[in-house]
Amino acid sequence: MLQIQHRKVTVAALAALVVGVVLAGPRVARAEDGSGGTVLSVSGTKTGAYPIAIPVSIDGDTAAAKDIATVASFDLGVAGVFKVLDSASFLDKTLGLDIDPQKWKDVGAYGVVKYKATADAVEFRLYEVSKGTTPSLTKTYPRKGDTRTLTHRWCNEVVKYYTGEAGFFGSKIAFTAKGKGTSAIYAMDFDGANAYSVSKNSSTNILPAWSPSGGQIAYTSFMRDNPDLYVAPAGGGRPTKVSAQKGMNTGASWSPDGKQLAVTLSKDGNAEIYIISASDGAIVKRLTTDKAIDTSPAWSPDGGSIAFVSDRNGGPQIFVVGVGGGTPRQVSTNGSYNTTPAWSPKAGKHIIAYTTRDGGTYDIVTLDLDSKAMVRVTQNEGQNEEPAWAPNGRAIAFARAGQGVFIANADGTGKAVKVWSGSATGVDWGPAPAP
Amino acid sequence: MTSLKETEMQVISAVSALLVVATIAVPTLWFTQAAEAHAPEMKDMTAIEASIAMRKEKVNQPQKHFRPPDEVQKPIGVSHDEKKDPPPPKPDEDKPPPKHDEKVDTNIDRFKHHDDDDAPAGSSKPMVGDFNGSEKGFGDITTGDPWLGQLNADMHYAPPAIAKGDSVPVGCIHLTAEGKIVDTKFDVKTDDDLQTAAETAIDALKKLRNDHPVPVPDHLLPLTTKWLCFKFSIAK
Repeated sequence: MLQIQHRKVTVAALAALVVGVVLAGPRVARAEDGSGGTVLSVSGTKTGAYPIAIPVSIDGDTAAAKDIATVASFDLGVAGVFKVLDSASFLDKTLGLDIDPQKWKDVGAYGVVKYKATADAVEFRLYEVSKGTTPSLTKTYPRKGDTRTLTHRWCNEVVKYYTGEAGFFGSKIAFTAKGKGTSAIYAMDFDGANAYSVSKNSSTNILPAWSPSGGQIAYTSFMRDNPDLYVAPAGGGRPTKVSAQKGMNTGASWSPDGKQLAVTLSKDGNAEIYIISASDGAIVKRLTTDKAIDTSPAWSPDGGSIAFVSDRNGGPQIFVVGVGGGTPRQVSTNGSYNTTPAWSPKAGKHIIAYTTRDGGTYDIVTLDLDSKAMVRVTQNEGQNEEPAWAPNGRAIAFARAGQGVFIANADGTGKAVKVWSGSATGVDWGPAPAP
Repeated sequence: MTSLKETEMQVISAVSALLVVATIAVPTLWFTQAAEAHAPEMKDMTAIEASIAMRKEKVNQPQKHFRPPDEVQKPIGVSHDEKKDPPPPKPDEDKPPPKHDEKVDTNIDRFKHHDDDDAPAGSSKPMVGDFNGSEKGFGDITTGDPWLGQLNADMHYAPPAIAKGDSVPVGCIHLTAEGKIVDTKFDVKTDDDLQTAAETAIDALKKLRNDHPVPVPDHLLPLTTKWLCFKFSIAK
């Protein structure tokens, strides 16, 4: 009986306490603020590169491991979204594929790539240090080809994991390599490896353009004295003459379906923009009719528009016209010299990269046709011309006069990386590699 | 009736005294021995603690001592007459007249006692208590404060552009009065990149403030007894 009375008293006291707390609710809620009494709200924006570490594996095939680390570090370094931590800033002595997340946090890493190469396969793992010791991504590739190729494939997976976009590692870049009295069409891996000649003649060959499938390259050659348009296998086989109109047959740009080419023809005396058949060069449509010089056509990724250069309003500026024709509209407004337009491949975006002259130097800029936002990709580093977008739109390749071919982040961040040394012009980036 | 001799009376008295003593002592001894024989063992006995209740002496509460009223000095030898004019004031011949250029001390504060009730109590500087890890600071004291504003500005929360997650970690610091950060913790810990970004920001703040401490101003010293927390969010 006594115990029951005590229990009643206890229950009554608790009830009174609860009632008191409820009555004092607003004040308590104000003090605790729903999140345990947080004092300061810190609001940040997602910006900047993602710090990622790629320690050299000291397990398994160490020779291959070193190459893998080198290739992966380059790939992710030029991906446009990562900051690969300097291997001198950490010392990973752990064998195997596991990590100690706290140690990687201490060196500033958000992500860690671990791998192990054996004679038969290479196993890769991606860790996010915030998720602990469980890898976020794991892939094992049999060592059928070289380690470079499978490392590119792995890095594409990493980019896709973070951005949802396909990576461009394993893609190729074509360009015009200038020699003494000649110029040749070259192609190479995007990172400068495995460069080879496509044109295979001693004449002047300029302005290469990859077909959407990546299997062909169109370019202009003077091998028959006139600047005619040829299409050759991307691997460098015998070229096929596509357009040999009188005068210029230059600046080819493939339609997204690969069936047509936008080109500059001067068969009537003045340089104008035409659409021709990619198979036989038959003229499909003349897009411009102006006494000014119209040149450097670039087919938009949605297939509906063509950008080109015209001096109809004075100096060379970027214009856009529909593939059905119409009145071109000038889209570049900065400066008095803007040339070599290239459309961003990003779906839903209408962004053009081009060469602009600022004072006495030439630099690469991008212009969003919708928002009018302009981004400067290069600055104070040589004469930079003829931009070409990476297949996913994250990077831009361009030629730097007298130095070679470079890659830079399309958003203007970071420092451009040289991938080919020499005198080069006419850069074009091929399509994304097959997964 | 024959009278007894003195010697006889003494003998009779001694015998009577012996009889009285024997009458008292013999039963006492007999009962004591019998009781001891039948006394219970100590282990079977029950201990009873007892105490003697004593009446406490009456103590009066401390009494305030009043000064007895001054005795009324009655005029001696003068009868009270309401109609009589008061006597003329007697000139003070001994006191010299005040000099006009004499400085008069008007500072009456020196006559005040410092323990008067109207004096402020305690020190004007708030006391710094021990760190209480179960308490946290509150938002209503942070609004617009420049010191906290600078602390907030020194917290560089910048997750990478491709950072995964949309969590809102809550990290806390323990400040000292001299402005150093001696401890950190996370009240809300998440498992995405934003947690890593928040940890990076707090670690950087800790290093910055420990290398270059900014003393906590007096009015914020109570913060040093509590966890000071930061809610990390992404701007929309």
